[in-house]
Amino acid sequence: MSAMFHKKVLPPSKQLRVYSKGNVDLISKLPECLLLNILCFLPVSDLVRTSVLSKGWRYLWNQIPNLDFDQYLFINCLHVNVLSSGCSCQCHERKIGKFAEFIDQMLLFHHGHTILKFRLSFCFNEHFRYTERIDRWVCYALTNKVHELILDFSVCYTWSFLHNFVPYHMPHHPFAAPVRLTVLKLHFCEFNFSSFEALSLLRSLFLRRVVVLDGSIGLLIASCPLLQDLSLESCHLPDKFMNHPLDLKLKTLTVENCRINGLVNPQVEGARWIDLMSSNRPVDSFEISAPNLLSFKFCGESICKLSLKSMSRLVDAEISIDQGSVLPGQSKILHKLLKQLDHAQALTLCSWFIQVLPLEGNQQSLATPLDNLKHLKLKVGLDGLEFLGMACLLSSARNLESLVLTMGDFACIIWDYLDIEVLNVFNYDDGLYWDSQMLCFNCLKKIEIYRFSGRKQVMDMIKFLLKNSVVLENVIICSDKKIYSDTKPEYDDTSRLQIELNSFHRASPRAKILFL
Amino acid sequence: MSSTKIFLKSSDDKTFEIDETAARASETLKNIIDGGCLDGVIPLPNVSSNILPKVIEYCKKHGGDNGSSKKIANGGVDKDKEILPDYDEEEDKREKVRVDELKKWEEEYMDFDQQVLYDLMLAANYLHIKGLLDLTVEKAASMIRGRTPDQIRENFNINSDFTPEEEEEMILIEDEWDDEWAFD
Repeated sequence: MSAMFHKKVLPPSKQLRVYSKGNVDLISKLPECLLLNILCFLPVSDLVRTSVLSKGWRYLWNQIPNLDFDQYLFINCLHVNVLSSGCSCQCHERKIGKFAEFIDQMLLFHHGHTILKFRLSFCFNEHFRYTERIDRWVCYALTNKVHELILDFSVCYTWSFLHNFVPYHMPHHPFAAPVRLTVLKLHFCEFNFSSFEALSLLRSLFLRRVVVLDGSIGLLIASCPLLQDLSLESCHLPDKFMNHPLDLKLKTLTVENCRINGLVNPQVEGARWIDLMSSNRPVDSFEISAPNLLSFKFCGESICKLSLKSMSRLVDAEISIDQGSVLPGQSKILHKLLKQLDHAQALTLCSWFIQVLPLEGNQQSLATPLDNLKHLKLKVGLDGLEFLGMACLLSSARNLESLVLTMGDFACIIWDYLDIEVLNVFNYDDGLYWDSQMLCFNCLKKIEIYRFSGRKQVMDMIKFLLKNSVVLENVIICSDKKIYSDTKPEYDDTSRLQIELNSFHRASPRAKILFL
Repeated sequence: MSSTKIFLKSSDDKTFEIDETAARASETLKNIIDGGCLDGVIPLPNVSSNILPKVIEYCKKHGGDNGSSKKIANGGVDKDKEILPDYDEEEDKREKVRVDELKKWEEEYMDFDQQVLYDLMLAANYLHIKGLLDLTVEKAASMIRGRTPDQIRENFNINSDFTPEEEEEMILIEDEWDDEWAFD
């Protein structure tokens, strides 16, 4: 079984070769735990090959604590490319069969004491007839004290093609004993809440493109009381999934581009992803209380009724909204949100947020200053429409120590839904805006600007920051010419820009400008 | 920077000096320091004076953070990254300079023969220095990856101790698999 990977072999390379003195076999004398450690760094193809080296190595690979079954790697380690080799579908089918057989055998022969990590990457949709076997492998992993389980059913196809498929349905078995699992990562699955009832030791849960058929965050926490890290990315969630009145013990929470399942009967299994897409809506209600939360990230297509209670231990937060338009009242939501995040020491905000923020309330500064805020990161385009919001944030963050501006992320917003008077706040001259601002940064030590372009607005902003930051130490500027092809010719010359930047007045004698 | 000195005694009774911050790269030493059992010199009966300076060199470079450049650079080893990729380009850029420098250092640092490789691996395992362990283990794995059994045997001077019958049997199984996988 070992020679099956002979075909693709690297030429002996000098670089990798570590010479040994004499002809002593030193490696085989290493303790077993270290040999197993070495094997963990190898793909299955190489792993299998070690079994023919000598008697000592014969069954070693059957004990490795990390089981990593990757369909793509497995098939491609044989033939460079299935498609280009002119391999027929039938042939490909057979290879998948072999892969499944290989997993079966490996699990049968495996006799290690523990399996720390079990990873399966399998193109599920193409092979419905493997469902039962996958169920068996998953159950094997759950009953064999696996600590970390990673199931990825999205391989082989590009995402647009995958849309036509039905995600893998997690088996729900009433396990008698609690499962040892502490980390679970699922990609392209669906599950009923009952699958989680036995996972009482779970600490980290990462779901990506997962359909959650029932339950809520509250029920999840009740089943997995130790859960600390929860990440939901592009998931389909039941209505009101993110609403829970009681305290959650989570330490990190990420909700990225999730949608609410809009099917008439959301609990129906086996819906194609594309059908789910057509009948859902963005997460519109989000009410949690998380006194232990250290890190919070929310990215979505719209700003929903975000209510975050008792976030007193929060360290960093990121809010990214990709809404395209703005509705009346949304600015107030942002003000409220910033108040709820006022414990955060690090904050990352997007262009939409910054443009919408000053529409309502006091434009000069926030009602509640962000006194805990030390690190602010803004994903902006440094467009005139963003200046007001930026100035408002900067004047409210009196203890700010570092400011990071990433450019090239300007959000084009459709303002049509707002009264025209509201937009009067933007009646200022971009070119003179920063000159007219009276702000002083007493703590700001570091400024970083990425995707720097030499546009006047950018130069004005830097000039303003240099002029008013009294303890500034470092300014790091990274340019990225590829992004800004619209840069005016006179600013193309990087060295000229550098000379200009260096000529700006600096309030801090220690301030250094570094170009990368 | 406060730099309390720690003294380490090798198996052959030679004493070496290391900063406390650097020593903390080792989980074992960190526990000893934090446990307050620091009684002048820490004896390390499993590490010889040939290898200890090399370990100290690594700790000095990595004092504080655990992890080799591979990890920081999102290298191929850590496959779960695929599940939740971190698209922080800017940080990547900034990291890149640091990582490149570290990679270069690692390359020079890892220039030694197999005996040292294993001794270092054992020391890293004993002292719980995750970064150094990963680095040495990966080095050994790279000598297996993508190679035929014969090449691997040659690399490590492994003697095949199978009987001719067993060899025969294995070749048969290999052929069977090879046939299965052959092109149609």
